[in-house]
Amino acid sequence: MAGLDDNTNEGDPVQHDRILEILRSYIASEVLDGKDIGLEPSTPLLEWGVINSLEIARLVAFISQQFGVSVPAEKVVATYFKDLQALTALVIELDGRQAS
Amino acid sequence: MSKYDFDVGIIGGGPAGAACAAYLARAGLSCVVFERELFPRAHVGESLVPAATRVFNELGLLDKLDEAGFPRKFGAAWTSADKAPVYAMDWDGLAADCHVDIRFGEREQPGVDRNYTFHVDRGKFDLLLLQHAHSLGAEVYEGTRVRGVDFSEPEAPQIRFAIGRKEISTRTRMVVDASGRQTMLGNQLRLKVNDPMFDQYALHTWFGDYDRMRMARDESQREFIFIHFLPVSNTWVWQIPITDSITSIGVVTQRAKFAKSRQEREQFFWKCLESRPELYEGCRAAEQLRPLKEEGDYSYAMKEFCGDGFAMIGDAARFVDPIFSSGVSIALNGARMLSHDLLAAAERGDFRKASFSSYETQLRRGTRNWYEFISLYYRLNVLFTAFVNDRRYRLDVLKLLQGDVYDEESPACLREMRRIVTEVEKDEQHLWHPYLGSLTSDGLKAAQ
Repeated sequence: MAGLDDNTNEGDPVQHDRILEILRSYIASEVLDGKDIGLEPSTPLLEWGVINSLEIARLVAFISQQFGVSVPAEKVVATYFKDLQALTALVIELDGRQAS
Repeated sequence: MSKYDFDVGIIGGGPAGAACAAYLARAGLSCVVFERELFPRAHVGESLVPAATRVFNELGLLDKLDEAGFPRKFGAAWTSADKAPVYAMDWDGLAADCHVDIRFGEREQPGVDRNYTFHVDRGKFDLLLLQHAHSLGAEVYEGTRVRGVDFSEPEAPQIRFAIGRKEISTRTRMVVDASGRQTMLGNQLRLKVNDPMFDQYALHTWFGDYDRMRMARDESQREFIFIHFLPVSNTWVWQIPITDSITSIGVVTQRAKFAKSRQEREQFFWKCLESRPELYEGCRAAEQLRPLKEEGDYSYAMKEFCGDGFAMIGDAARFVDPIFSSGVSIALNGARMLSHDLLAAAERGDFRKASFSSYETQLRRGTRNWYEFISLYYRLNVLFTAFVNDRRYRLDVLKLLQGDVYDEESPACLREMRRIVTEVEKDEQHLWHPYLGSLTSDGLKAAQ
């Protein structure tokens, strides 16, 4: 696994911040073309139109490639994609489940 | 005197008929090709996929194609306008186009020894193939319109055609219908079933000095085929290089959206292009070389595509939708598979339906996979993008795009796409739910 250590768990703040940072920098460089809009963990990605349906497709592929977890179709909903915070939680949750 | 004039009579001298004639003549069967037009003639269907290479190789055509100077096609790219200009603040235009692209060389393909195929001027290409069949020993009659086939003597079907005002017939052991979308035998034997799903129409023409780099990411994409999505449901534009300076541009849309009169169609064509400003400006700055041509009656299937003493190949057997440039490749591979069965049938002297079961199975499987792929693509376009960009599926999707569709009953990546489409259809909260196209999965089974 490229982005996570073996003993990832939800309570690990260092791991959490690393995932958040990887996702943030992906969106900043790949989606926003490096344009700094001050992306915060709570910036509303969908409401503000930062990511559209195609970007979601690319993001899902990126998550699978980067973290080795696959995002099931039923998780591609606003709850998990609304902001970086929610996305980070999704990756941690999927990793915990798919590792076992 | 022999009971037959020829072993095999072929109706139509396009890629399906010419390739079939070449395979048979090469193996020593006597065959005749009747082509109603005088070649060269213009034809739609200008981009190939690499599965065609196997046939070119076997027939010794690759050098001729390279010498003819057809542009080499190394890959394909898809572009779409960002439908939702919802960038708040002042981020407008941050992500105007999303690209997906793929190169054929990314996947090794059995029987295919190069990482490119061709885009072709069908006038030149079809002539070259037909001449090749002739040089291998097939008799070719151009400008000869077949009227029908008389099956009253099942062992010796007679092809009826006219020379001047006189109707003549020729006796064969077996008839191959390669008449294209004219579907000669499909009509005569009432086997044709129109497909209610893909009721698509196309309008197309050639442009001189269209700047292909306008929509390309870099120089390596100059001779890619481009599929440009329009922000209108199930509507897209093809961009196919024909020569260094000529580019074929076609709009494909649903019949319902298609205007009735000729003048309205002209307007419709340009209005469609206008929805993608870079494309529109590129075409306006170029020189339109031909009047707009239209293609209708897009999709149909046949209840049967072979029987006692006959078989259909290419568009005469089935036509779905040109989105993945599959037409010529299916025609050539169909000719290859049928010729295989036909040579065995000639050996046994048995041209009844059962002799063509291997062709029937493979073609049915191939077209079913194509159909499913195309249906899923129209139903949820973003999923195609997702799969191409996902390394777990990229090569499986590429395999389909290369035209390798005949060997698997149901490819895993299509099953997975189908599963996700079903999820998305059920779940209104899914972020892709609003992007479902107007083709519904209920309708997908309609014409299989």
